[in-house]
Order: sequence, then C-alpha cells, then structure tokens
Amino acid sequence: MQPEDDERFEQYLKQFEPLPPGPLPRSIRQSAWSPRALAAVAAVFVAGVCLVLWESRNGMQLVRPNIAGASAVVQPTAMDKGAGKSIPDLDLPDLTGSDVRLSELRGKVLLVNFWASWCVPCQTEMPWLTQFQGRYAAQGFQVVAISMDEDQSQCGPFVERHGLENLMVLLGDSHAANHFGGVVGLPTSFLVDRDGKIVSKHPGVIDRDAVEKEILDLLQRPEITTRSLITLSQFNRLLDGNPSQLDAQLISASRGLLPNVERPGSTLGALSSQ
Amino acid sequence: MQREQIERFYEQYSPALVAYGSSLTGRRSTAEDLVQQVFLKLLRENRAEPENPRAYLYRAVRNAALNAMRTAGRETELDLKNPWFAARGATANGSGNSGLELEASLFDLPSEQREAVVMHVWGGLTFEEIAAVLEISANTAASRYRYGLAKLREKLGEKAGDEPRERTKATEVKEHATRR
Repeated sequence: MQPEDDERFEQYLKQFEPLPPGPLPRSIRQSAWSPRALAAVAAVFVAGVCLVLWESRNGMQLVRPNIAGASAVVQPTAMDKGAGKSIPDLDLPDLTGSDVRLSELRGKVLLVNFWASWCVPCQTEMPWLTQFQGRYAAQGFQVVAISMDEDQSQCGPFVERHGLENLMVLLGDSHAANHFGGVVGLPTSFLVDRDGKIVSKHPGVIDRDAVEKEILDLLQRPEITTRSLITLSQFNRLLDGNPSQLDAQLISASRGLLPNVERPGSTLGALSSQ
Repeated sequence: MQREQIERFYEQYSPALVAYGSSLTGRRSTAEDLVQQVFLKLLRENRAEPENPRAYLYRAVRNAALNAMRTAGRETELDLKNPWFAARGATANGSGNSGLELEASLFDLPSEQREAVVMHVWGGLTFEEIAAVLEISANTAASRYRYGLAKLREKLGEKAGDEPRERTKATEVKEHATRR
C-alpha cells in the first residue's frame, strides 16, 4: 500500500467524528465550582425565573416548569398540554430564509425540539438528536429544531460549530411555541406521529433511550389517513347531489384528512364501504 | 492540576477518549462512565500535571476499561445502540456514510490493532505516545497501526473511494496513457 493511499484513507476515517459525551457529572462540578461559576449559575437561574414569569404573563400554562439551565430529565406524559394536538399549519423560516410549512411534514415521524444557543442543557441533547437523524432519516424520521433565540443571527454559527447541519433548523418564537401548547423551559421536545398528531411532550433534557424507543415505535406504526376512506368518484357523487349539512361537514373534514371521519351510519362511511 | 485545566482537558479530549473506551469495551455508555470517572478522580486527587497529559489520560481510560471488563467477567460485545461516531457527511435524507459500519469494522480488528488505530486517527497520538500508553516500543505501535489500517481499508476501502484492485491498475494505465 502506498503511503499516500494511507493518508487518503486516514482522511476518509477522520470524516467520522467522535461524539462528545455529556457534561461532567454534577457531583464533580459542585466540588470544583469557583465563585465566578456560582455567580454565572445564579444569573442563569434568575434569568430562568424571569423567563417563567414572562411566559406565564403571556398566558402560557406553567406545566412542569423546567427552568433553562436545569438539566434534570423529566418523564413525558400524555397529560401535558400539547400532546394530542395536531401539528400546526404554521410557516417558519429556515436558516436560508425559506419558509417551511410544518403541516407539510405529515407522513414523517417528527421530533420537534425547541432550543436556544444560550441553553446549556440543549447542547447536551443536540448530539443525540443528530444521532437519531443519522440513524432513522431513511425510515422517514426528521428532527425539526426550532430555535427560540431572540438574536437569530446566533443560530447559523451555532449550527455550524456543533455540526447540526443534518437537522432541519427553523427560527421560531413564543407564537410558534404556543401552537404546541406552550413551552415553558428549554429544551422541550415533542414527538409527532406520521399523521401529524403530537403524541408526547418531553420538557427538559430528553431521556435518550426512552425517546429512541418511542421513535422506533412510531416508525413502525403505519400511517392512518382518511384518503382511503372515499374514492374520487364517490366524492364527486356527493358534490353532484344535494348534500345535507352533515355531508357538507364530512366533505370538509375529508379535505383536511382528519381522523375518525368514518363513523357508523354516516353518509361518508356508507359510501366508503360500497 | 488546576480544576479549570482539568475541565479544559475534558472538553478537548473527552470525545476521542470515549471513542477509545468504546473501542475497548464495545459500549459507549460504559466508556462514557469510565471517562467521567477518570476525570472525577483527577479532580479529587489534586495531583501535579503529568508530563504528557494526553498519554496519561489514555492510559488511565485503558486501565479503567480493562478493570471494568475484568469485573464484568464477560466477553466484549459490540453494542450498536449508542454510536461512537457521527459522519460529517450524513444528510437529512439519510444519505452519506454510516458511523455504525465503521464501528463494526473497527470491532472486527484484533484489539491491539484497533486501539492503535483509534488512538492515532481520532486521538491524534503519535506512535511514541501510543507506545507509552501500551508499554511497547514505538516500532511495534507503528506496525500495529499499519496492520490495523490495512485491514480496515480492506473492509471499508471501496466506501473510502478506493476502486477494486484490478480496476485501479487498469485506471492507472489509462490515466498514464491519457497524460501522454
């Protein structure tokens, strides 16, 4: 083998970068904190409290307050506000300024992550999100990382510095967060199934293994859509006739591809079974 | 060592140290714990800075990994659930190279060659430093590295842009003729 071949192969190997571990355990840092570090933590804490108060002033529900800076893993629950809703029909700009409509991502399993460049716990889970993206993208998985930075010029350099290019990074704000039922602290993540339904909310740093398991479960679930409930000709027949108010509602519902359209006794249900 | 310095070392060396620990134990989660234990010990002990901190850290992680494997008393198996590497070229649509394939190929190498490759390529250790970590001669370290690299190239060569050997020769002849 030629030495230059070795060098080229080494360069190839170096394109694979070792993934960074999490931060040093808290027990180490507590014993090693300098007064300056303590002051910085106090400042972050105060900022977090201010954030919570500000968000609550804006009418957001204080569900499981998780102040930015705290890195505790909080178990998700379907009772959290947000779970059960459909992904909003919302346009958010990406880093190039092009709008991305979230509802058009239906058909994929999504992990929607609210983060900010100044949020230390967010940085802990970013390598995990890139891992998930790398591993499951081919199966129809997409991480949507919505930045809550007020100064959005920070996002691009942050994405580059942390190698997040394989994530779909969008620029958001509290208005976007409200569409997900409100985000009190960062990071907060939502898992969305292929039908665009928010199935769980994960306030705080995600439990990597549990979320990965949930992603795998969602990827294995088939997409359920009302597209198959009514054929075009059946739909046209309904339009040609003189549909009742109920029919009109069902037609409207089928346009939006809402689940549970087919109900025993309904006109649409009867047609689809023909 | 000052704690700021130890934390700086952690930031600088921990990703490659975790990859090295993973290459020994087969499990990233175990390697991550071991690396953190090594730094925890450094913070507690308040020892003087070693002559070569990088080689010292690799040696410490190696000892911790060997102890853990001895205590567990089981064969090392590759756990592909938590990868050690992320491919820089991977894209959102799933194209690009998989770090998992690299990990599996590395794990097929004999352990002494595997650790020489990981230390040199991702840790940036010189053969003298690898020799100090493994308590062998620098020549032995270099030959373990070369054997390991050659085997790895056999497994991954085509993905790295190599063409099969026969075609490479044919291409060389063709290129030579074109240049003339």
